[in-house]
Amino acid sequence: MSNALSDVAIAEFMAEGEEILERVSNILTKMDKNGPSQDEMDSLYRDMHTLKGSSQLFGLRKIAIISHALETSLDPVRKRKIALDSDFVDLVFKCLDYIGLLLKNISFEEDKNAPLKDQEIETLVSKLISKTTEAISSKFFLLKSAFPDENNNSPKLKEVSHEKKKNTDEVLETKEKDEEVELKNEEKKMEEKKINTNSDSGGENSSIRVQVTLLDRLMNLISEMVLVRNQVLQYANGKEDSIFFALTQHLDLVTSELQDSIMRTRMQPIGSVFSKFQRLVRDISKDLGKKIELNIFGQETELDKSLIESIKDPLTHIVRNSCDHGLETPDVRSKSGKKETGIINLKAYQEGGHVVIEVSDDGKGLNTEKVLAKAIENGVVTAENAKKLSEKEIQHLIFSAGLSTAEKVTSVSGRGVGMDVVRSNIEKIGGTIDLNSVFGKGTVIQLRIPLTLAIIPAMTIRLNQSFYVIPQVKIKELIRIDEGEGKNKLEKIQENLVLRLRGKVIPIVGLKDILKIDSVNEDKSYNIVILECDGGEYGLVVDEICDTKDIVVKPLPGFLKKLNVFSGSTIMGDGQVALILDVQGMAEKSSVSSAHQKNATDYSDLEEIEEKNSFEICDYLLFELNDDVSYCIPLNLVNRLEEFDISEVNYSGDQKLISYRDSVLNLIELDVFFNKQESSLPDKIVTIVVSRANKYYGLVVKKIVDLLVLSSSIEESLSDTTGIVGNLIGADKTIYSVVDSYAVVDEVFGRENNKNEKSREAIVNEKEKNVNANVNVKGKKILLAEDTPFFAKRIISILKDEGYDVTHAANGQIAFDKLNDSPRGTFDLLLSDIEMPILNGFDLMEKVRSIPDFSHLPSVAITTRFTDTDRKKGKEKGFTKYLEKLKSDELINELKSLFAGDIK
Amino acid sequence: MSGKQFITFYLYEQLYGIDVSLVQEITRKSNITKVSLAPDFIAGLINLRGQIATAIDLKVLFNIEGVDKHKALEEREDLKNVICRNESTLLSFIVDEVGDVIEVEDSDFSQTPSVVDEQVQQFMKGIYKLSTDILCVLDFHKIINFLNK
Repeated sequence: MSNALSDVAIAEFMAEGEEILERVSNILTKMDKNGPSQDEMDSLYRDMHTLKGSSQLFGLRKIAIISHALETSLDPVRKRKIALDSDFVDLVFKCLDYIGLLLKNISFEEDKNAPLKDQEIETLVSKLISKTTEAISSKFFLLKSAFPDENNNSPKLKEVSHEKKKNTDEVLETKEKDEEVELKNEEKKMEEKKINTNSDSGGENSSIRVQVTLLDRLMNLISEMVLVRNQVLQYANGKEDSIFFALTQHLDLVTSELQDSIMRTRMQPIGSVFSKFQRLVRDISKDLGKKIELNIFGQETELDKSLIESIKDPLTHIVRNSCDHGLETPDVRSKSGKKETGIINLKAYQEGGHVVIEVSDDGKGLNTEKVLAKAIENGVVTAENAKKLSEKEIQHLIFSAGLSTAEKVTSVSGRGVGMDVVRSNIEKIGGTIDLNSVFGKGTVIQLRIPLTLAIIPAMTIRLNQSFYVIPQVKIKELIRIDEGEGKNKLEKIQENLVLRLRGKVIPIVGLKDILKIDSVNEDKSYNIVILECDGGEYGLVVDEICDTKDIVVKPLPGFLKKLNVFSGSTIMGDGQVALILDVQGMAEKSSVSSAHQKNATDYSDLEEIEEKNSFEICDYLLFELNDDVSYCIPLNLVNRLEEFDISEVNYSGDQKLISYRDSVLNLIELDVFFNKQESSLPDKIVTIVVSRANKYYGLVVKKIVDLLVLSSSIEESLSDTTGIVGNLIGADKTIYSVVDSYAVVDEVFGRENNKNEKSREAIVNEKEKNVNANVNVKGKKILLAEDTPFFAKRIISILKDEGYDVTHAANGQIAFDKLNDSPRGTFDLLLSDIEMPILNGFDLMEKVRSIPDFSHLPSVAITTRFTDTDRKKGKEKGFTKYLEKLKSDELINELKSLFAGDIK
Repeated sequence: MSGKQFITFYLYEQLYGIDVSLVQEITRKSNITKVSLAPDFIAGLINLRGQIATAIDLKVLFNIEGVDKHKALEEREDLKNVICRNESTLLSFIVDEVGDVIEVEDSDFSQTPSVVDEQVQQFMKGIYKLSTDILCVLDFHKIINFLNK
């Protein structure tokens, strides 16, 4: 046998050996649980035979000896002469491990010459033999010592051809030798069965190993073939030749199918990773003295081969963590009223372009207090910040690096050993990780992995005649703004377009501006793709949004990547090359990025925080007046930004007015208001339009600077300037004075004036008046839970105006204590913010509703977080109403109708 | 044999050559996808049976004046792509016309004379004196280095 040939043969043997080991461990774990089935037992035995045969063929004596011993000892089990107990299975596993080790370190010369005195093998083998003989000693005499037998057999077996079929024959032959004592009839029956099952399972496992590079090449070629097919089709359509046409149709079909199949060659069922965990969990549970049941779902879910490799380690870590730290010992479990056997569920399923893998346990869950203490101790968070963290955010702390390293060193209880590594590994392949834990009940860790790295779903867009693609994962949503559409309209801040979308302000940039292409788009409407990047979101204006399809990503040479706007390229259906847009790079490159980058840090921080649903953040509009102060106003208070020409200004007495949307806009010059400057309107009047009691007011400012996302924890200012609620400190340490438009309007036009407005408005809405006007809310007691002083002050003043008696609590916990400690009936209504430190609104409500006395207490949530899911969650937790913060009219009306219902 | 083989091509009337071992194939003018923001000499990307090659317009790179200097690439007739590759990069040089494969003797080699424009000189290995012509030999690696600079 030439060297090259034997190398190939060895590689085949190794691959086959590994397959056998995997199959055998799978069967063994199954048997371990449910008891062996005859078929499985037979296949096990057969595998051992094969292994023994081929290892002897290659002169791998160590493997041969162990597999022979295994085979011999498994035989009585197969024949139901002895039972397969757990110790036995352990022993078999140990042998398999050893074989696995040997397989990995195959070195021929050494193996052949090395004396066969490996201590470990001997012990293993003798253990095996004693195990079996012990079990059947009373009855049987089957086993001889494996050693001498083996040595005798080896030379002869070497002659055996390495072809599989012949191998099987040899297997049968050797078997006969080993089992001379067996009854011939039974023997024959078994063999027949064996042969049958052999062919069956041969079908199941039929696979060959192929280099991934070859698959990649196939993929390239098939895309080229698709292109040729397209050209042929086009050509055929122009011809009158029906036979040719039919042939091309056939070509079309075959090509599509071929393409599909080749795409799938890289996919592998995730079960190949999952199945290893049966064994892992089994081993760990033995080590830890825990009872653990591992349930696997969705192992047929397919994932790109390279991704499967890279999730193996992180997933192992997670499962091990679940066993080790998640699940309790049996006695602890039974004490806390759980079943002794802990359950770990491993679930995989496809969702969109992702595969979701969930590892859930019913263990003790995360002890957030401990995690937090640890985090503070290690300086991951400051004690001060820690107070503001929500439950969920604390749980996510275990993914931070600082926490886990310390855990590793001390190996103190608590989960989070190396979870940062897990997270970074998952993120490296474009996945995400999420954790959800209920203390005492269990933990769910969810991984989202893209299906494949090479093929990604992407959206095709057009600019002029060129097509570009954007990875689907980066796209948040698509928006079309028709010409003259009122809602969702684009606004301008300092020449930069922004789009107001459900309370968020998103910078908008044109793709043509980024790529510096002159594009004349006849279409007056805007097609906007909202993209997600590290720094937040932005909208990209394109000529046309075409379609989504799976694309094969081709790398770009380095000198083109440097341009920072393209992340790769792909080949379109017609054979044209299309560039993949680099969403992150474009954000940095585009004109929005200057504003964007300036706040990059706070954006990303806050974005993350917002995601984690922790404390409240608020959008602020920054503006300047003719002084050195930086001003800002909560965006919720802003209706629109408008620019007027001086010629549009009318006067009513001293009051400057502008006709605005069938109504009148009263101008308030903030320079006059704050700085007592002389009134002087510029030619172009920049105004922030706010509304108060259905009237519009235009706050005249010098310049609108930017938008900023900041925490809403406003420091109350010491000087009591009317119209200024307090100060905010930005990421760059700039201090912003927060303007309260309500206070400004009230100061200028008088509170009474506005109140009258309100009643006038009430007359207009007569129906509502009938319901609500008679309701006497005077003296009704409201408990307000609100952590932000600015909002608290605002709401309290609105409510007091209406005659309510308001008690303020700075967070959910305080509110709950106040409610619970006061005599029952003290408060008529609970008004609560959602995002609060220590105890948030949802948890507060849950706690309140759990006390029977308060099960019917009217409760209203007010929040800036106003999405349907939140609203739904609020309702579930027991809130009677769920309102948007700072909509004072709505708040007042809703409260009235609540009390009206109350009285009825 | 002391000679070397070069694939030759013309930019206008001038004969250029590139080491035959670097050339993968020669194709006709194909569909080019332009890359915005890229330097002018990068004509765009072409699809070479599923692989992407970056097309370099040698005339622009060498800053060669000529009749079609201001013509857009699409309007230039009869262009050919000389596809060259190293381990990681697939480049396509856009040329006017492809000539023969020429075998030259090492003895005919000489350094690039300084009269050659510097813009071209920096990409050249040297020249070979042929009986009828002068062959300017390009240094593929110098071009790659320039691109990656």
